[in-house]
Amino acid sequence: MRVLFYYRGSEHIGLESIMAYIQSKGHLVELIYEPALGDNGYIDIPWLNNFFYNDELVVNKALRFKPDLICFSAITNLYMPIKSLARKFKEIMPDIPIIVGGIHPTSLPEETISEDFFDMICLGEGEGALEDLLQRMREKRSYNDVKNLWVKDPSGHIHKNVKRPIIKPLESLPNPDKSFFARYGALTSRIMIMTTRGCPFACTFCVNSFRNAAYSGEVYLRQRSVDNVISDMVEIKKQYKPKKFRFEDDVFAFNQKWLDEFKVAYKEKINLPFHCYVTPSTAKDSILKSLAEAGCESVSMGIQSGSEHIRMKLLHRRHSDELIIAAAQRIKKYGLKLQAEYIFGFPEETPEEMWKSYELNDKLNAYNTASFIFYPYPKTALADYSIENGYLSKENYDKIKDGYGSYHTSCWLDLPYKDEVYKYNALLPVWNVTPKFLKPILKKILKMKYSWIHKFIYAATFPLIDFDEFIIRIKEMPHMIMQTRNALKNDFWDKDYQDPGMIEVGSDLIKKNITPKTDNIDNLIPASVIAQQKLEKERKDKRKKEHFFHGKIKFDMKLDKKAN
Amino acid sequence: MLVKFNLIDREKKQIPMEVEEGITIREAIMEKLKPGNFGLCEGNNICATCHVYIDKNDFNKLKPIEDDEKETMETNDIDQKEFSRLSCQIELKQELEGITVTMEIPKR
Repeated sequence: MRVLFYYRGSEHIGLESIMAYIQSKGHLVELIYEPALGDNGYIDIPWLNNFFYNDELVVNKALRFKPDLICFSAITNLYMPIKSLARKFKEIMPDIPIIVGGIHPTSLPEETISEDFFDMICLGEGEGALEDLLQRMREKRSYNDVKNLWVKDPSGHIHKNVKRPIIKPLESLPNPDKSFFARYGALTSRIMIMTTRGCPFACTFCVNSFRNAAYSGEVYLRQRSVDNVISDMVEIKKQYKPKKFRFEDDVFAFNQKWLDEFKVAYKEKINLPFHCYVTPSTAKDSILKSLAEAGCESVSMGIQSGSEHIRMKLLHRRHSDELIIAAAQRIKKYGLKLQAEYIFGFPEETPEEMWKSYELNDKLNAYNTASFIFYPYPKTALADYSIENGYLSKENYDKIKDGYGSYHTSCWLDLPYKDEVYKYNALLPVWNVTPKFLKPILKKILKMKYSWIHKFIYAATFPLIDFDEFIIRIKEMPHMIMQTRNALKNDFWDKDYQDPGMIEVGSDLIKKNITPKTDNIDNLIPASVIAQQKLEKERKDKRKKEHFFHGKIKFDMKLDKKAN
Repeated sequence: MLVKFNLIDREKKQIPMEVEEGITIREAIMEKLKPGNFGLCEGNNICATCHVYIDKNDFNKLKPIEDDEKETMETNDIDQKEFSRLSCQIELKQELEGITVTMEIPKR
């Protein structure tokens, strides 16, 4: 079967795993990828977005591929553009089933399946579910009862199937295939890798809080064996020649025994600097020592709030100030750079508590900081709390469920100190690197009414969030833009592909021909879609003129509403 | 060799347990009950979701608590009491025959 994946965002290791798995079952897999810049919420620069997004190229590539199944993966913040493209695909290729998976449909299945253009949704892990689905499609059998899927049948009835057990061990899966994203220039010289699925903690603002609960009776957290990880990394090193690695696991170093084995193998076979995540409670002496010995260069540690009250009561993180400070000192002791991460805009959070984050950060001696605005992700415990306690209106929650806004730009809660949230969020990275004698000036700016000056500082401090990453991205961005364009225009799949499974099931079961009868792709696109594309192009051109030299930075809800 | 102990589950039901010597109480509970949100770090002493209360008459039969375990209990959101322990840190041996272990009722 010919399976088309679409993703918008940055490299997605989960999708790489699914694509590798599906490909290993004899299916032809292709990825259409677009890097999300504006709609992922950092900044909205329409003229720059035009370089990144081009629906016409996307649609044409999809038509050329002639898929049997179209798969989307959606996180909440990118759900909106995915919906819009899925609608377009459905208009152009009405016979091709469309499935969406990822954390968004997993947390909001009812809402997602109710969209006309989605035929199926996948809840939880996708490898086994897609394998079964494609096999049923191959054999022209009903797939209404495939586990992990909710399937809409032609009558509109939704088959809500039970979930399948989690995949265990993770080594039973092929290594994630990075070549799909590499074609689009999505891999930087600091390559991402994951050794785990899941997180042992249940912080109330994080999707892991509901995912762990959903897998009652199973331990969702799993880690690949050291051998498996290292053999994958050896291949990646050989093929993509990265300068560094970045472990994207929610908590990378939690198993001392695993880490002791890892550090020896990593040093011997990889020996490149790497970055990973720790928590104040896992940043123990023995763990940090092993990380340093393995070649770890820097760690991110979520502090989230400087207020113990917020951390303990709202976030269910029982980390005292002393514990956090001691963890930061240990990180420094082992020569690792610390990136401290904070969130502003929690329910009940006062400006005094926001200030505590600044005070605590001063004691950590962090190399850099990253700050975010609390985004009440659907079904998380803190989103529920915000609703129950009147901080999150139904209207705003509906918008979140539709993917509006982001944790960089939007404060969705009805807080009396909303402007403070934006200010504190904007200035923390620069506060972290400001010399002590200049801090009183910054403190005065913090006390000023929220205005352009805060926005300006926020924009100017992007490089300070993670300077190394910023430099890498700036250097590699032109190459990525060109590669994305080229990858959308060119075809990489095997033109002579024949589904080995199809041959096995016999010629009488060969799928219905949904191949376009003409090579002229323009003729395949309905007039209504062409008209819509034209309208969008006009709108984009208009926006391009409006923002010729500088982008509009979205900060408040009014702007969000206008844009949407 | 088998070890017997009494378990009081989250519904306060008494469950007689009989398991192989050498496994931890966390493993025994996982195997028999498969409770949700339990033992999420797979016994690595970091999440405290396998928190249990040991009957006060049995508490001294256990090996003394180590600093790491103490720290894990203090830094995670559990209802820690005098006879609290993490079940992933207690290996079942003959000398623990007949102890009573109560699972914490999670807050969420």
